[in-house]
Amino acid sequence: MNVKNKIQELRKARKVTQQELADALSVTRQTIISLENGKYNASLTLAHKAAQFFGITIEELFIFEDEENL
Amino acid sequence: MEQFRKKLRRRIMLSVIFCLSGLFIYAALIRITGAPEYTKGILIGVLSGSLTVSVFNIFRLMPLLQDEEKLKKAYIAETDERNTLIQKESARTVMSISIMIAALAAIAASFFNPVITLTLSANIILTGIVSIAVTAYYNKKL
Repeated sequence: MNVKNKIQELRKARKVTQQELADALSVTRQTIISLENGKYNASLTLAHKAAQFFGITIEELFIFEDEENL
Repeated sequence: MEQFRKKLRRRIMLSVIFCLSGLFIYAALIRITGAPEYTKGILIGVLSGSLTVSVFNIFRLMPLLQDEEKLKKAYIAETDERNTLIQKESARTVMSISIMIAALAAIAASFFNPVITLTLSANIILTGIVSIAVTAYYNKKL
């Protein structure tokens, strides 16, 4: 399962800095950078917190892609 | 955050206890066993290394209890899930590399000193047993 997210897109649209988002989600800025770059997949708790922060559902924030083609 | 503050206080307390008990154990070992010079040297090395780490920990943690902002940063750094994952992955990698190095060292030592070979082999076996036990524990716990 490949997971992409819209964190960077939504963060920029709402003019929130990486540090502000990190503080709001109680994680380090480095974690936000890794999430935005797709290097790290958030846990369910962090995904829930992030979705709540942007006021959308987890499914709207994270895009789950099946890897059936592999 | 109050829980984290308590955790830090506990860590500071443990470091202080560790320092004092380390000094006490060192003094007791020297007096009771009348350790030879070489053993004294090893003991002093272990003690001074442990004390340095403990004292460093105490001086690192104390200011966090006085400053709310620093405390929050430390809390985030410690509970950050990516940091936790990095630590877990690093620990696993370090463990595998250490075992491989010990195995290579045991093979190399077998050419000139059987005692070192046996010691290293015992270390590898013990590490394996501890690893199995810890895995079994977490298997039940989680």
